[in-house]
Amino acid sequence: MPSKPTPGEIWKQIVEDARDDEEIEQLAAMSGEELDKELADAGFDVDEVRADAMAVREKLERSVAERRAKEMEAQARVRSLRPQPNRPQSRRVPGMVWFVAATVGAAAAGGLVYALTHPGGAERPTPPVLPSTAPSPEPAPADLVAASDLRRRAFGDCASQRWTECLAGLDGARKLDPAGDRSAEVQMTRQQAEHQLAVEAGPEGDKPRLK
Amino acid sequence: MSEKDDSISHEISAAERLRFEEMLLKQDTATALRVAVGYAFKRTKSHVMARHLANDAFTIVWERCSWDPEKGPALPVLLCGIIRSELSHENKSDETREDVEQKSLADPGASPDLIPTPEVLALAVEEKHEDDAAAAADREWLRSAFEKAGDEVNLLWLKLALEGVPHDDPAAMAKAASRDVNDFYRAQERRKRHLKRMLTLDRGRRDDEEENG
Repeated sequence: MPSKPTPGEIWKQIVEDARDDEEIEQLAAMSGEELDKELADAGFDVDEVRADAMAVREKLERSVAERRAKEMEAQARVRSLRPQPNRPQSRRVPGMVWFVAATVGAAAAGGLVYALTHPGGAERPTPPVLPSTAPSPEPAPADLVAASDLRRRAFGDCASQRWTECLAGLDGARKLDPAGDRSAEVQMTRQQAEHQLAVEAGPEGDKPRLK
Repeated sequence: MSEKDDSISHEISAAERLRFEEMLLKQDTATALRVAVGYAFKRTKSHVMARHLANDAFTIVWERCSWDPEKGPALPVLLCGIIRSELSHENKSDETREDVEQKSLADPGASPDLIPTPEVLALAVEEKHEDDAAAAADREWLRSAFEKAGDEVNLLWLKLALEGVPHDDPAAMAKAASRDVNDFYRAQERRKRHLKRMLTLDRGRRDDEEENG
């Protein structure tokens, strides 16, 4: 066990740290060129040090891309398990609809009786317009599975910055499952891919892809 | 940055890790790492060690997943601080090893060539007295600067540091003083300014300044 430092030793350490802080401040305040010169003067191969730093950054970028893909995949999976809000919960016709229809039917029948018994009398009542409860055509389960697969692959493509493949996948999935294309994740991914493709096609296409 | 690395810190969720990595990507990591290499080299004088230390410091930041650029120091300063801390731990291990070696040298079997002469011992004692006096004067100057500034927290910091509470650990200071840790974090910058002044001005000029001011 090292012996407990004396106040004198502690003070020495405080002063050394303060000197260190000054050195750190000076280094941190240097411009890129000054930093390169500092490293070169110290005998470093500046390109190698830069490459080290870039390797760390690239590793980080890959990690973020993978994590984003996983996160999107998980969100898509959760969404695919959730019931679709714009689809009817059940094919059964609710009791209220039967009640309204029966009332309207009765009223119409009453009107008919009235019209027959009172020719040239009051105008015939107009039946109320009921909102349509007819569901939009639902994709077949096999199509839903295929669309889900396509989207999962598209998220992966997008995370790996393969924007064209990403968009193609999303488009393919939309054909099979149009409702699924309206999910926030798909919309976000689609917008990102379209934006990146526009950037790549434009004059500023050589800018780094990650912010 | 792999899932294997995640096992080091189980309590951090994948979502937290992602947000942290996204935040790190917004930083100028390349410059921060180069600053860290430059600093590590100044301390170690080894190119290989410097590059290793800089990379390790970055990994430590990633593992901890707790740095907040809004509240904490800038990334280059953070990396250098970690490197200093790592080197300090290594030095402590070295000191322990040296202690053991010194004890073995004090054995009756140690070579007489290693035993200093009375003249060398006297000179060393004299030098130590001079150093101690200079250090005492510096300490007094700093204490007085804190007093003049009404910096109660840093006065407490100085007292506790000299009593053996780790001077670079605001949490330990806060615990020992039963105060809010943020008081000690905020006091750091004020203290740095005073220490910088103490180091920049030699003692004669400091005394002149005090007499005139």
